[in-house]
Amino acid sequence: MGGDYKIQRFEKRLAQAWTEVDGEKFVGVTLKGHLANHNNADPFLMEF
Amino acid sequence: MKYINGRFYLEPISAHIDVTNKCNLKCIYCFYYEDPYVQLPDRDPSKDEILDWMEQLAEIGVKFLTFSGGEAFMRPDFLEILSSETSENFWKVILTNGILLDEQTVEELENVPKLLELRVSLDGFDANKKVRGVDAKVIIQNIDLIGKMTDLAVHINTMITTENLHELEKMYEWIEQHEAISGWAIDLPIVRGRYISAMNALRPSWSEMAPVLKRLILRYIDERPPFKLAIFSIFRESLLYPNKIKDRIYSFDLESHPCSYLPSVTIRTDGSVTLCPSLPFSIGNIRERPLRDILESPDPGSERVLRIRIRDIKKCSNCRYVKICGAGCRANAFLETGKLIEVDSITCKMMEFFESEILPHLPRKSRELIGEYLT
Repeated sequence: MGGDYKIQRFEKRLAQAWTEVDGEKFVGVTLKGHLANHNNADPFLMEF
Repeated sequence: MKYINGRFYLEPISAHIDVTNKCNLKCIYCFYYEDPYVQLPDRDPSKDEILDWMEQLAEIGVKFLTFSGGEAFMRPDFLEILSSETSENFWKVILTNGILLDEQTVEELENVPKLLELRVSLDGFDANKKVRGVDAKVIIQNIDLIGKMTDLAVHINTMITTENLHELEKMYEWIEQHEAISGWAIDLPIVRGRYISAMNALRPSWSEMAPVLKRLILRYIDERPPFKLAIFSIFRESLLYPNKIKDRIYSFDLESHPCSYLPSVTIRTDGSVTLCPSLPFSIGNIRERPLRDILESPDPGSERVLRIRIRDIKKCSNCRYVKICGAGCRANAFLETGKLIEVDSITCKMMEFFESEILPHLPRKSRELIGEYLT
């Protein structure tokens, strides 16, 4: 199993998940949202 | 959720439900138990209650759902909840300690629709037993099972303590090789629950932590291994791919609410609704009135949290990092100082470290992108 497969598999699913969100309802995250990374913070928003 | 400078209203797209207070571990840094801020109820919500909460979340347009506890798999009916018709409305993540992921459970999980990943807590190899009270072999065996039996993605959640700092590089090598693990998040425990009394012994000094974290990050930048790494406030794998993130991120201004995760909402086992799992302020109770009402008209007193603006934290207003960190995390500030309107000194330290030790090693385009946010 190729190494990149692991990330691609996850990102493909994540991208599919985000297609269900109304673009009008969500415009992006802050750089802090990207960096904060608390283990119990929202995993979907962190991975956006 | 529209959440642009100076304007927000509560319209979550993501939610977190604590489905049980029960846990089969007694981690010495656990924020959930022995917490002075929250009185846990004697009983868990029923399955019907949780399904009703999920229905309400779906009705307001929530698409993502994270399940946690306690330990979610302690509920005998948890798999029924995951496989319910209501559950099909959401992409799902489960936060778990991994102990109960036996063969039958893993087999059933593979059939759960729209399950994005399992986030499994593991705090090292020898250290796991000391900190979490269970041999790491038990967890690793179950993660191996997931890799062999399914195509599910596993993400490892690690909390840094004095016990496991020396094991992080060994964990990196194990994660890199493991077929099921696609991500690793490293964080510090928050100052709630058992960690309040354990913190003095468990929290490494910054001078102990900084070189270890820097080594991990530089190694990751150099090797680009096949897993996504995230380290609290200082690194995320996506920073290596500026083209992927440049259209997704935007800056704070002083009129913004400081929280990055306002598009998310948390429901605790007693029905209380909070903005995140870390900040102990309820904006209403879903057992008392519908979620839609709570979000449109939060309980009196909620403005204490909802009306905060970055400009209120005066020491941050002129800081060169404010457009990146947005005055830090309100849960950190409150739990470390007892005040919501206060500097989050942990994030301050991380920002300085990020700029001096990590930023110079990022790709040129990433440095330019982030440089635009420094004032």
